[in-house]
Amino acid sequence: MNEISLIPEKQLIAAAIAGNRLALRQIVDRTQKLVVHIVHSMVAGKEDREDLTQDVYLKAFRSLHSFRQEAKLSTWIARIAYNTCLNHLQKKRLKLLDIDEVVEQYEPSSDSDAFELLEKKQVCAVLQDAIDQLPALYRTLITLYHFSFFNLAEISQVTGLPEGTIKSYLYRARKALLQTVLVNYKSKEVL
Amino acid sequence: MNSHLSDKALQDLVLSKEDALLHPHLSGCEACRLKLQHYQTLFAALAEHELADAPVGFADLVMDQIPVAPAVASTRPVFVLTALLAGIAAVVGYRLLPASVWSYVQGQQYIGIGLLGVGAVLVLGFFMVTQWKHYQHQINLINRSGFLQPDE
Repeated sequence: MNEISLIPEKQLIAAAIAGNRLALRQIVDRTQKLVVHIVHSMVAGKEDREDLTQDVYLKAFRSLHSFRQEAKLSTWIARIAYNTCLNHLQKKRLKLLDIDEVVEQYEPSSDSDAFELLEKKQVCAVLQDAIDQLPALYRTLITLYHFSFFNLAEISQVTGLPEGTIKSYLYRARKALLQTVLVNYKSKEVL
Repeated sequence: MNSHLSDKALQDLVLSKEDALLHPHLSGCEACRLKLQHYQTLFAALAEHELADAPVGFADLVMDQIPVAPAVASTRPVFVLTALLAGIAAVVGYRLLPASVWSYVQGQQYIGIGLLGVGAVLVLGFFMVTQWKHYQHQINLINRSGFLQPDE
């Protein structure tokens, strides 16, 4: 294992602030997966995603001296990624969560598939498609909670949403996800 | 007949990791048991699901965008300003001082040589101190980063 990868976060940040490029590179290595996941969950389009992901790091490194280490580095960078994507969506007049779309698409729940037993293997096969079909905010929350293992307090720091709201959105996101999985599962089985 | 458990209640049962089937409603409601199984399968699939990694070479691409920090300037603005003021003072002094004073100074060569020597030592000392401070600052930063700590 690389020696630098073992350096504690605090020392890494001090070195990065001093302009040490190895330290900056290490910060990218430690957080790139998270940043890519957030950007991909919020923004469509390959070029936009690439530009935004790089933009996140430029912003982060420019303001690294103001990072007070009250939060984890990953949470801080995740917040920059979330806000960068949010600004991008606002510029393009896109919504992170279109309530009308959610209500129309997922309510009321379809009971037609309710009596079918699901198998994990098959669910795994259709899960990514189902995640991709979720509204951007739901997708982002699912990503942060289930794949990046952020807790509700950390997600609140990243998104600025109250914990209760996040919890409620996560319930709805999983419900929507289950319904989409059921529909995709059925159509795959027919095929 | 009892009303069915809500999706929120079913998800809470899965998240609680307790034996959900002990819930009084579930023992008598097949529809809710099945839905609970759906959520259990979904949570298990989410736990196993892996999102795509960052593209290969992504970190290199990011680092290419970050400008290399400029080297610390050897001539700081304060030095330039001081040198400029000193130059102006010399020109003004040369113009304003009466010729008799200049002829006296030129006559006392040892004073001029002495002043030149003291000035040179002062300038040299000044540069040595500033460079030493700059070196100490850089060493502190490297020590704080821990990059040069020996292997244990």
